[in-house]
Amino acid sequence: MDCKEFIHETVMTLSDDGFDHLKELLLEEYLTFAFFDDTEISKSILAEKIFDYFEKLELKTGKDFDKHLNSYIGDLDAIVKRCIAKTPQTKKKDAVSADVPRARKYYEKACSIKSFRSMSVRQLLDYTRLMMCLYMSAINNQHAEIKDFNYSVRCLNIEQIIANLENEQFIGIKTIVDIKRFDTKELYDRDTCIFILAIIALTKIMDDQIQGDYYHE
Amino acid sequence: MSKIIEVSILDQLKPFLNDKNVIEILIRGKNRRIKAFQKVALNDFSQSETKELLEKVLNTLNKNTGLNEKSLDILKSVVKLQNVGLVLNGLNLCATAAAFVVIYNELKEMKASIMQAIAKLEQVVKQGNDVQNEFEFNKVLSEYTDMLDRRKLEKPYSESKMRELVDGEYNVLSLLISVLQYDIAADKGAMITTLYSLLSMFSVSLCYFDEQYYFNNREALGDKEKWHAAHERWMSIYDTLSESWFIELLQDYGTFDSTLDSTISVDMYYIALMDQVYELRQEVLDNQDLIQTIGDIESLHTLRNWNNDDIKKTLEDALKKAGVDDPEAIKEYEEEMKKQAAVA
Repeated sequence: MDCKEFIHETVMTLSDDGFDHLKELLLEEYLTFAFFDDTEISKSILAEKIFDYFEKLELKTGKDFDKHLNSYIGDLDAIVKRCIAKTPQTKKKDAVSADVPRARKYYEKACSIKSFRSMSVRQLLDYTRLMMCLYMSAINNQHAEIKDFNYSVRCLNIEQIIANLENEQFIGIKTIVDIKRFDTKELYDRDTCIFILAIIALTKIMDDQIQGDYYHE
Repeated sequence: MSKIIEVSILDQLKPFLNDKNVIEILIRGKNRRIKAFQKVALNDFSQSETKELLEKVLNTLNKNTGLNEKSLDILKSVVKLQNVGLVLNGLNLCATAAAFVVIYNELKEMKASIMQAIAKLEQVVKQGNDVQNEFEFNKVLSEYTDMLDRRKLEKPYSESKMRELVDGEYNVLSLLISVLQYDIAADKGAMITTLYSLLSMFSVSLCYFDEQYYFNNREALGDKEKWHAAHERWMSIYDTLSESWFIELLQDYGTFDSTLDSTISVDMYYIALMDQVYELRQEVLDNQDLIQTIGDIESLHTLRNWNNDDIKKTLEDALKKAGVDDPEAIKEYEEEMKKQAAVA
């Protein structure tokens, strides 16, 4: 997908409440307007700003939108992968095959979406939804391994997810000081881009949430 | 037009007459959607005696149904019940013999795979526990059809036959839930569809049984338990179908086994099914409220029949009013609306 398509199918299709939430999340930390007041910023104006951001990002990093998208997809996978319980090994003489933990089934489903050569926006959102729900369950489990998870969109909390992503560490590198996985000091940077993509995708997913007439999770 | 107006004499309704001297009452169905229009004509009157005036309104409303004088008070209290629309709705496809044919045919086709799965269940589960070893899936289907037919002919099943039917449906439902719980079904989709169809049938049967039980036994029971001793056990089916393991089962089916292609479709699927469980449970409870309020089985039936007959007429009128001109389109639309309103 290209950048314009992504922004069109996410930012431009948000409800008023969803858009207000997105503005709140992006304008505080990442994007600023020199002349517009917060209240004057419409969907089209914010969409243009985000589009400009990705253009500048490409000029500064030399990597196009697709490459940044791949970094987002790959990093999310690496973070969530660690939290998912593995399928127990069975001995050859056992006739019964082992039960695959539910979390792992959904993780593998998300990975199968990842394997598509060119993802559509819908597929990206599905991927994000599954990975983020798994990540949310891991957060609620103090980052210990999870066998099951909460599939519902209602469990997602964007602020909590972002806060946890900010604290993610690199595993396997022994240093005196903890090294954080993401460095978001620079705005036009691979890591900050990942956060912006996550925020946009998550806002869209929560905005599209299906509510029952009677059933409420 | 947002204030609620309290009417104690008929004169107060006069301002609402349209140019044809008729009042149009909007009847809402589930989700506050408009279900039908009821036209009420007020006969010209000069007396101020309240009871006589209300009798006249009643006679106009119930031209052919012969509701008698004592039901005046009953009807007055019924219209205050906010949820009366829920119970008198014709939207439940299992409530009439004509509409049930659609579901019956679907269920007949799935019979073989269901019987296979239940047979396998008996091998897998060695100890009985909650699983009933006796089931009669065919019997339940055909008895239910028979029960609806007999109601139409005004020769309804007896209280004990209804109880047997409810019990039978409950047992089959429990079996199907176990089949899904033990992951035995080869065709999970068929199993889930069957389960929800049976749940609708069960809910309708339970409503009819409650009615008979209450009116037959009210005097003997007095203020004590109003409903059958097994009622709580029967209602527990709805609770089982709202448990988190069952919700996860639906999510898993939607994600891995069905042809649904995105997380949003899966959400729509399982949330709609959860809504249906809640709605059906609520119908049984609302029906109990209605039975107690009306307190008279003749009036209850009259109210239900009146609603069905008039719905047919008001559907036709509503279409004409909506300016639908093309006769083919009208016919198609009428059929669709009638099917949805499930009138025989």
